[in-house]
Amino acid sequence: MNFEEKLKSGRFVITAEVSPPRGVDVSSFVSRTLILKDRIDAVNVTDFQNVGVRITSLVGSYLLLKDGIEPIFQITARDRNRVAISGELLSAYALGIRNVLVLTGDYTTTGIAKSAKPVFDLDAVNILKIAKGLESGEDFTGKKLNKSPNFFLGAVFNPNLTPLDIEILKIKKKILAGAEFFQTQLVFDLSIMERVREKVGGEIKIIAGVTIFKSVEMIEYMINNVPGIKIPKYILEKFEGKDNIRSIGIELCVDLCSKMKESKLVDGVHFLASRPSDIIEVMNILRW
Amino acid sequence: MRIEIKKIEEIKNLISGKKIFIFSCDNCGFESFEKKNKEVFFYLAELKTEIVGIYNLTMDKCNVGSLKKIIDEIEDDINRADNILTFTCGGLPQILPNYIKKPVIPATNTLKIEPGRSLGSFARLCSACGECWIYYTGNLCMEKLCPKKMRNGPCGGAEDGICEVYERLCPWVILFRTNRISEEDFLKIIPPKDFSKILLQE
Ligand code: SF4
Ligand code: SF4
Repeated sequence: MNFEEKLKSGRFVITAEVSPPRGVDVSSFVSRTLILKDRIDAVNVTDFQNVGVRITSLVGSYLLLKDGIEPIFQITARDRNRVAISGELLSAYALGIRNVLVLTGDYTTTGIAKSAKPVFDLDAVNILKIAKGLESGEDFTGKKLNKSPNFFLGAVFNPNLTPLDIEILKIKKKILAGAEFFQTQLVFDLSIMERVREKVGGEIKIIAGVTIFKSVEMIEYMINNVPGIKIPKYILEKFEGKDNIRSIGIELCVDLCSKMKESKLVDGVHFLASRPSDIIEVMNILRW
Repeated sequence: MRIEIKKIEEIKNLISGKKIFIFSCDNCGFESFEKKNKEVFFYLAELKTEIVGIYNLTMDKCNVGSLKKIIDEIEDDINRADNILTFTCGGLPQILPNYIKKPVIPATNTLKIEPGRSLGSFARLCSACGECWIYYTGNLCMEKLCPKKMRNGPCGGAEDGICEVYERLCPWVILFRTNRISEEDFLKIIPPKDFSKILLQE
């Protein structure tokens, strides 16, 4: 079964994000990620994460696919216009990549390459529409394709946003635009997911974002530099004045993952900013 | 300032009644009222609507203080109208909904605002993007207010309503807090912008 079939069959899925390397040596990227093979259901490959120059998501996804890991190719609207995005989508499919996670992307000045021109020719909703257009056999200019792709399209949402109602409307809009599954920003509080389910129903496939905190620096970095992240006080307090941050981080993640699975509110968990070896450690404790 | 009137088909889909009140201006002194309004009335004849009134806004009155007084003066006409149509730049139709609780529809695309020339104060609210689309977004201009120019909702980066780029309220949050956009309108998918319009301006 592939990722789409597993998700649609109602299985609790596990995904994780990895970033392609900064440089042309791809060996450790692949070997590090290979330990997730057959343990998790798909691996997201980020698209110039944090506005940094890296190997592209397309090539990163292809490298994983070649080695038997099912990728979720991420594409944002920040660095490419509608021509480039359409081309990347076709290229991905031609290489055998079916899963696509569509994002608008963080603004250039919130990341590393602050001097770069932000593109934002499209937004996530319109990338989804363009992908759907390709599936129906035409590009956005109306030119016919010699063969059309068939993607499994996903989008993101951020349960930390206030007011949550806007975010819920956006979920609905992204579904109208073609999204079939959702991966979320970090979730710590399951009651938020309860509210989301009340509004969007049980059918929609939602994979909740979790992370394994490694250090105080990582926590601080996330709070200060990653847009849209909110870490509740009671989580931060667990780490205060402690020096075994990593083991507390693992414990916290194990606890949250098992609660998520039990709650039946989400269709899976998505490990964000976590080392593959740490993910395996968490999964071993959970006997997943 | 260079402005073009929108295609009839575009406006037809937006107006919700027969009775129309018009705001016109002299393009910050770049056009005569006579010439501009001739064009406006020609256009409206084709639209087959009943005009209940027109106000010609001059540059010295293009500010909040004057506008409040003007609206008091023309209140009766406005009350009779189903829709307000603006033949100005994209600034005025962003301000009017604060004072008039009827659909305010920009009937123009603002193509160019020359820097260094004196302008009415509402012109500052418009970036002259060539394809005015504020009617999709509760009459707030995302070209001006949103760094990513989001067409289909906020990007998800705002924290407690504050934009991820600048220390100010995300305009999408303002839209929802002030009920300037209905759920039904929000769920309509707005297609990508047509950049050829503005790119072909000299
Ligand atoms: S969308 Fe904004 S910038 Fe474009 S014409 Fe309208 S008010 Fe001006
Ligand atoms: S937070 Fe709001 S204003 Fe800022 S970029 Fe995102 S959508 Fe635009």
